[in-house]
Amino acid sequence: MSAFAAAMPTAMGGAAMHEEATDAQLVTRAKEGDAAAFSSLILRHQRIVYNLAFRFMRNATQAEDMAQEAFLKAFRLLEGFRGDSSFSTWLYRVTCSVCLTELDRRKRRGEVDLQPIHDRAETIRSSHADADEAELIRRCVTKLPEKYAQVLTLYYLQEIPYEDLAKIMGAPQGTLKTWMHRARNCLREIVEKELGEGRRHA
Amino acid sequence: MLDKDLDTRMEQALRDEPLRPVPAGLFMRIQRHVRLLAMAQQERQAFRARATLAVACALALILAAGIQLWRTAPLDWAGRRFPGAWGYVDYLRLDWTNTNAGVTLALVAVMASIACAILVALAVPAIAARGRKS
Repeated sequence: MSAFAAAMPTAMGGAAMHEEATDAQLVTRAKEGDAAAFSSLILRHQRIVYNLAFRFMRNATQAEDMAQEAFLKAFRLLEGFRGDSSFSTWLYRVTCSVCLTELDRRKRRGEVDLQPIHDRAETIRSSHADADEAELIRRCVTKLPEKYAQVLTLYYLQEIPYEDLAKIMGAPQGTLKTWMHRARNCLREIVEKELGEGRRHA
Repeated sequence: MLDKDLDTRMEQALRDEPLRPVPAGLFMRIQRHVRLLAMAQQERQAFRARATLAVACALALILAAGIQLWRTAPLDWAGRRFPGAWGYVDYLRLDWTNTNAGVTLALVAVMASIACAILVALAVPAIAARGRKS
């Protein structure tokens, strides 16, 4: 058993020791085989990664799976991470890639997303028209073309500044602003269509 | 007006979505999978190292055998020791690539070396594991 794998069960305690280290320092230590360093990175970023995944998948269970996949993919690709961008930027990019690949796979297979009963019940309980509409708008984001969905989700998740967003998306800031504008227009069209259909069925 | 109202509502819906708490047990589940991944990567690297070593040994063996054959000319030696051997040696020497026997000999040598290399690569971890247990 490798030293890294053997150390993993106790990494939670070790992770606490790395609280003051920066992401770059933790990545360097993780590349050298420090299990606690990678655990610290997971602890530090798991909430944002999970929420980012949720905003794409709109389902708690699927978001957990995608968050797990994102961290596993990050672990596999860690050796190739050169530090050109911050670790969080790179991790968000990996998370987006994992979620969008999964959504694309489901679209190609024609999988229909059956809203789980507990989610439906939550919507009914909140049952306030505004809450329903807000959730509908958020779901419509996942129907946007890939890069528009990505840019809107990342922007509103933590109000990431355009400069950092440009690094995540790998595009100049000017292009990013154009994408944001087009994404909003595209989203409005989808929301108008959904709201129109909703009123027809009501 | 309606458009602006919808824009405002869209902006509000996206901006006001709260951050959800992390589900219980997510961290431990991720850790467990990362641990398995680390073990698999370790095994893959170890196998690659063993296979490379085995192939290198096999090639070294072939090279050594080739040099020895070239130096000692065992066919000539066999021709002197065994009746009828000279005739067979001449048959092989005519143009060994065109004779079935020559090609067969060469193919057998190559396949035997590859088989040995694979067996060594597969056997070494089993022997090492047995050694660790004892």
